[in-house]
Amino acid sequence: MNLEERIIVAIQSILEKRPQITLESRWLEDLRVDSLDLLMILSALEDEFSITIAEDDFLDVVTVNDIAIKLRARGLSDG
Amino acid sequence: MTLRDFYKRLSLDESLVKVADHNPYYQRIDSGLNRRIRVNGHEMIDLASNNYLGLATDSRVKLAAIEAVQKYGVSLCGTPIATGYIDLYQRLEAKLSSFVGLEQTLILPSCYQANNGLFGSIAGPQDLIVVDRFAHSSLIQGIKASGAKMRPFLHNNLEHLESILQRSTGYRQILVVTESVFSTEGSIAPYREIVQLCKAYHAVPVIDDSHGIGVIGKSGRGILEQQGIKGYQGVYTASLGKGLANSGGIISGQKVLIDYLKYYCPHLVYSTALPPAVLAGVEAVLDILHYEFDRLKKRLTLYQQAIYESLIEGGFTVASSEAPINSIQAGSKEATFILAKKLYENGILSTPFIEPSVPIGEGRVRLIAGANLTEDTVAEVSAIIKRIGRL
Repeated sequence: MNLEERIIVAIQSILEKRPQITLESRWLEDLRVDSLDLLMILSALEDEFSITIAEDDFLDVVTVNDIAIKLRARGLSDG
Repeated sequence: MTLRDFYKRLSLDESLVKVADHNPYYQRIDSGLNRRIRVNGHEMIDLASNNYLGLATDSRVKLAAIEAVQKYGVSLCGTPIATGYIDLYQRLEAKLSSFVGLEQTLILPSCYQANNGLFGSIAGPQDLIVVDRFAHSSLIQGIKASGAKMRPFLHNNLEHLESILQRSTGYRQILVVTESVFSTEGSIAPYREIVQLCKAYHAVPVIDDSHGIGVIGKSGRGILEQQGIKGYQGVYTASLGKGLANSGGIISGQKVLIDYLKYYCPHLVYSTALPPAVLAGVEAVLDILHYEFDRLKKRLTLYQQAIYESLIEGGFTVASSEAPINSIQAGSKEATFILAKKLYENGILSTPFIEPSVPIGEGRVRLIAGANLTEDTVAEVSAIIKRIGRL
């Protein structure tokens, strides 16, 4: 799995009942993610990538792809 | 920013109220919680309050409160650390400890304050607090204020909780926080298993039993009794304003915890103590429960089931609940307000929950039929619900 797929799987583990999740899915409008959902998702990503995430750095994400961009900017890659 | 800008920023968005043509919040109540209550001048059936056992207007409880006012006045005008710690306060602490089966108890002005003050007093940035995703605002805000790292787990999901505990290392202390009865859902936490997980991972369990105390368990003693948890080593909080029909909140647990909080919980130390009338009221309710819990609980369960059946017959989606709560899954916030309005127009006062009290788009309308209602009233409620469902 590439980085984007791993992100989607991590999000799916939290948002079990939500509609299909794609890179274009928007947090609020499509996935109805609230602040506690976001915390759970960030925790799932921490576990998935063995990193520490500062919540404040991810408050401006709009789509799932924004997460991928932020993680790639931190040096994470498909490997 | 100008003063005008400041107040403009605070102005409320009223679009939801306009769509529903109804604001279910801050309705003016013109009576006590009698069999019929008066709301904005109209007689209605109360399915909104948390007066589970119907004791808020019980004559014995009222008399105890009156006698306390006659003896002590309306207030001791001081915090418990100063002049608020009257003999009645001390006696009630002991009675509540015995009731919930724990060593010692603190009494605070509300359970919101208990939950808000607790975490800042016992946890800090070096700690991790794992909390059920549906936990009450008072717990979430209290955890946030403590500065500890917060990790929510999926509602009542032991597997998810354990996966977090397995991966969480390097913290000074881990606390696991949940509620006993989740009142917006009607669900009950698998607390015995959560306590076992805490033991396995050396975490401190914290439970808010606000909707459980006086309501669940064989004799109404709450979640620890209901789940047969003996020798509980964790922290326990609860409201005195629901099943116990008064107001205030408690923190109970081991003596060392309570002794510490008596000096280090600012929400206790700097808040005027609960007034004598309330302390006496709680004491009277505990006495009544000792003799009458079975009878009251049977009625509560009967009413919950009757209303549940009418909701199903009326075509509503409602969670099957172990608690005496019916929670209608109403959907969007607009749909939630509109359902509350239909009930209101038909003489039923309900409690609608919209985000952020519940997840976005998962609005709930909660119905609690207290034991003070009559069977005729509940039959009337059932007929109304079925009629609304057919519309």
